[in-house]
Amino acid sequence: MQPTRLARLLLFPLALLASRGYAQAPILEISGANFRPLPIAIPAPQALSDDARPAAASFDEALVLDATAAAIFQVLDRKSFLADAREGFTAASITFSRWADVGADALVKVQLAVDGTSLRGEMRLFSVASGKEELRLVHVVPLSEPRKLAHFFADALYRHYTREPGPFQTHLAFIHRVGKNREIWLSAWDGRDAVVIAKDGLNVLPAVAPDGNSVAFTSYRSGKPDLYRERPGAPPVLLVSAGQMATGIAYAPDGKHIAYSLAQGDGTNIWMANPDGTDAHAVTDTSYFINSSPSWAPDGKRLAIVSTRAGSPQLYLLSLDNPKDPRRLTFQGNYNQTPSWSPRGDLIAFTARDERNAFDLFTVNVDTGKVNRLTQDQGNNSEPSFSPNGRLIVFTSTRNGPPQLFVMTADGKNQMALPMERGEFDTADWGP
Amino acid sequence: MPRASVRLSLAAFAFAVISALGCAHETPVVQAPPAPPPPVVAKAEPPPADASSAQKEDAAALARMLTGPIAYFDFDRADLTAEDQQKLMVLAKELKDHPTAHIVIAGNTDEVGTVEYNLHLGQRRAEVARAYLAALGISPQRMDTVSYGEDRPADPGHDAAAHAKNRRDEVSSR
Repeated sequence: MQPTRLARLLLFPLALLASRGYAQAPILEISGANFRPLPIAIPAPQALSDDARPAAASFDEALVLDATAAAIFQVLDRKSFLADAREGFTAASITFSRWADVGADALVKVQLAVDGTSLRGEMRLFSVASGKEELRLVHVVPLSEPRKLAHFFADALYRHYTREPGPFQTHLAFIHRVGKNREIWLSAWDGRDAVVIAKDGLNVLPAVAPDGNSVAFTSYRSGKPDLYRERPGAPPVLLVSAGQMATGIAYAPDGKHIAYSLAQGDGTNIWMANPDGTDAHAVTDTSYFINSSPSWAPDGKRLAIVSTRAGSPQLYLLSLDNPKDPRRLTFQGNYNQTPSWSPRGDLIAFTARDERNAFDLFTVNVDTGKVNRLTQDQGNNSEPSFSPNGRLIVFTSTRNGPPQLFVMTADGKNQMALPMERGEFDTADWGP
Repeated sequence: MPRASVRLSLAAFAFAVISALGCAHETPVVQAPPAPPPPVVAKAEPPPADASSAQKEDAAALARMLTGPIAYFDFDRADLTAEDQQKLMVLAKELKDHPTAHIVIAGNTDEVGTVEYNLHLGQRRAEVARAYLAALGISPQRMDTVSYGEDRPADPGHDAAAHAKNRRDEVSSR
């Protein structure tokens, strides 16, 4: 799908700035019949001194991961490379025919240098066919955070080829299951560089807050499940303590409201409030039924929710102008759950239980109702969450045994496990 | 399925609850050596007030006898079977016999399905038991509910038998 004209107008000067006036690469069509991944060669980065080597290895791992997960590139196997390992860093010193011979359309070269406690990286992107430098970037990060440098460069590559923001400098919040404890972790997009936000007891259903540095979640720390917001090194802030249980906090796209589910008496309803929990009011008002798992539309005017009002859990669209009359969105099966509304607006990803009792991921098109299956025959797959740019989905899969976090494209391609340590992880939320 | 195997008469069930749960909570089985006697206090303490002593006895009795699973459910269901209702009748009688006791009903689900829905399903299961006890004359103020969803399994297994054991309400005294 094409980016909107407005988005292109907005992004064009940015891209121009980033590429210092180099010629623009053709725009890659990310989805649809015209899509063809761009063959790209990413040789190992050159460490300019021995003390840059450990950081270079971490950087390299992260850059290759990002380029692979982006699903717009075909990252070429280094074993096939023909170029001299000591080949230079400028267009004049590169033998482009050797890169053409291995099928590369694009070539990424990186040099890394240590400067005190900093790591300085310079990335150059070359078009193999023209032999010209298309992009040159310099960026500095703390020496202890080489993956951050890789994510910065990966986003620049993504933006260069798609004119869209990349997803690689965003964050995940998710659960680490350890014994009886459910810990809240906040990490880089790939599950790495994680910090523990809440450690002891039961903590569930995290959402990355708009600042990208704190997480809102349900915690039993006071004995009953309430909503809190917390960031590393600061005391937790109680947002909602009402009814029997508050869950599933979701931030509006502009960050100015929260939505959540509140169990009270014999029903669970959707509520809205200010981000600090004030001015709370019910949005749905069915007694007995469960209304849960709100996910905001990018326009901030609608919510996708789960409701049991027709007997089984199904997805509904609820307009905040007319919340008493939600539109049912799913009709197949009797267990449709965990909507995640794409920030691009067109799709809602969800978990469904199929006729064989397997849990898998699907999308439903908001306008046409067309359902597309994303996972099949690979364990149980659940709890999808769209990347902030709407192109990728993070989810939980049991295909390798214990629950792990995976990523794939919005149409289910390029499924891969995140490179996390061993352990049980689930219910990821992908936020800013 | 545990449900088929515990088709007991009311009296037999009550006995089973008392003996089984009594055992389960009188750990350790091997008794530690008796604690040394308390130091002799020169001045006798005044006897505790009647209400507080009755409360303690009620709480102790309930903790001993009525802690544990009280209802089992089918997948994605929150309705009480005839057998669950019998167990709740026994519980209601105990609560009437110990009028100051206060209980917490915890609803649980199996690991199947999604986390948030399971939390609300567990809450529904706990509320169903509370409503049934209320209908039997127990004041709702004496009963709290909480849901742990799928995060407090009785059986850590991943098969259908474990799942069946985990779709439950548990009662504890507070």
